[in-house]
Amino acid sequence: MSWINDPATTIVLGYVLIVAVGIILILKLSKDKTRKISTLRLFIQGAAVVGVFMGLIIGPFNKPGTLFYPLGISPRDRLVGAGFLGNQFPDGISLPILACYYPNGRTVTCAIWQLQAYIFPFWNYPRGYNVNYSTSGLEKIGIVMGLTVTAAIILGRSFCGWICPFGLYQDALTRVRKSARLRHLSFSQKTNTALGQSRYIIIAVFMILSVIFASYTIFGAEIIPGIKLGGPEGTEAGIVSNINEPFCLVCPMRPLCIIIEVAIGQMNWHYISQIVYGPGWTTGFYLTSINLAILAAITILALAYRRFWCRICPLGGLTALFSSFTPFKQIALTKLQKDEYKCTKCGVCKRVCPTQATAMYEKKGGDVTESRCMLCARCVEICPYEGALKMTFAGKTVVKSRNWLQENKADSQQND
Amino acid sequence: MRATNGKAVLTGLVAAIIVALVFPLVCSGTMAESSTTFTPATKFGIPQLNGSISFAVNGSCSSATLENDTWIFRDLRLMNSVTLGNLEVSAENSTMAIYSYRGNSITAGGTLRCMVQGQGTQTVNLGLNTTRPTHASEWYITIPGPGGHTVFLAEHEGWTLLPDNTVVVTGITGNMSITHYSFAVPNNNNLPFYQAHSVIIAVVAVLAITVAIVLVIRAKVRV
Repeated sequence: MSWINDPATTIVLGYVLIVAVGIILILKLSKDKTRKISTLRLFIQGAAVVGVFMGLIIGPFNKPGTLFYPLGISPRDRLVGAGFLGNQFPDGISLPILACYYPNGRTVTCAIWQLQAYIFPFWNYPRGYNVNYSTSGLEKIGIVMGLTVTAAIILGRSFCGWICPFGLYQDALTRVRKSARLRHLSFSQKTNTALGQSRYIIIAVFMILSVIFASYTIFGAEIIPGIKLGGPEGTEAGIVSNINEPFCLVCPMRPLCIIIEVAIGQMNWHYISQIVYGPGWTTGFYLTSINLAILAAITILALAYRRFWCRICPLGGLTALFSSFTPFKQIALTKLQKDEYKCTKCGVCKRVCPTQATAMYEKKGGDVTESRCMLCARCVEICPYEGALKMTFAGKTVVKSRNWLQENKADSQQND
Repeated sequence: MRATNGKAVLTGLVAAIIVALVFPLVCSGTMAESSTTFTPATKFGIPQLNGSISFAVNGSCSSATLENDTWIFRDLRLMNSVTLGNLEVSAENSTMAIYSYRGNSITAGGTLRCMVQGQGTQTVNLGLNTTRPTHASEWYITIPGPGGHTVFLAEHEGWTLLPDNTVVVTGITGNMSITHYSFAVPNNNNLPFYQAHSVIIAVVAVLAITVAIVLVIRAKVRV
């Protein structure tokens, strides 16, 4: 079994073991009942970042002389991409998290990028950036949507609350703010609702833009000039070289990924620009400035407003569409449930909610999952009434609110 | 009782960690499946042409033969990789140290990165999975340029392409990469429908199964 001596496989197995042990230890040893779930969530977020970007460490982009090159070829090359999904779908499994494809070695990939890219410029197979596709754009989009809908049905927006790397970034900013003993700001409910609705507008706009850019490829009509696909990459003129995947030009995750990769020497700094050669060089830097400015703005806003980006994230909106609205709401497996008879309307749940969701307070009982809720379970954790709130999976309670006030009182009396 | 259970859990955890850490160490090393292994110190000489080929990393191949002053490496693996392809390479009045290679048997793309010393001629055939002659526009031969920029060399700027998809490079020294982007339709046309579209079939099946399971669970909860 040569895999035993393969350092990459050893790293993956070690990672799985560490994550499993960490989860068990947190569940067993965490004493503070109001922080146990939060601690577990932080650990899983950190583990998810490592897992999602494992390709950065043992991926296909390592070059000789870089830190992790001796670790060799990633398991991704054996399971996903060329070896498993082949050239039908080589860009990695679509998940509803912001996971830029190029640093993670295409193990899992942001569904938004794939949706855009498979409309334009990869509608017609076999073009790709050093990959070949044997499937048409429509089929690839079908695969992305199928995976996204499946993920949304199974876990809903808990991808946002527990796994998304940009969510961890924002939670880290929240902790920075708290350590500075600064209070967070809150939007009015009207503004917060409008922000939530803007997610759907954002995703619609960028998908329409992608279709416009792909108009020549799909319909044979050049709606705007410069969108004909030219020769090999680097020789094309116009839009295809500069503004493919339009949402990625404004997504804050992309520059964050690149900055971190460049900082650890795993990426050439030229990739900070959207294009690294030819006449598009200047345009690329201009576009990059927009990208970086948005990251700076989102960082500041996330310092002030908890999980600001999650309120407007189109990927979160897409996930919410397939988990929080009829008919998907009826079949979603992960839900937030409320027992109206145990709720005293103390309001602590909506005060601690990072995205200012209010359904768990305002609705009478039953399924109180709403599109703004990212199933972080903070409300469940902090609710002091036994069983008033609970997070369920397939009808089974995963975590429920505990009467931690009484339990703490009993614990302290016992210690006395 | 609770304290005892807690101790049991911790003991089990510690035991599992120890086993997981020790297990790879006690397992004996395995024989490589390939019959020829090499290290960076291994030199594949071409005496007739005053050249040599080496690899900057450890690796192996099922066979390494010198035919017509060209080294042919079959089922080449680098750093415990999967099989990367069949590489044919030669060097005249120069040495070539290869540090990255992918011939890519799934698609017709391929890439090779190397360091060349000596003003000579190198020939590289990436072992592309295609019999059709490729066009020069599908090939990228790049060298580092000033300011860290990458310089793309056009055909006849130090390299030419032969009809059998061999790239002949002359007069280039230093780091070099040879890459082929394939724009040919991958050869899935001969596959049955279910194989050619296996991924979307699998995704639809997974989605359908998920929905079915959910509906069963809902029915049970209602009952």
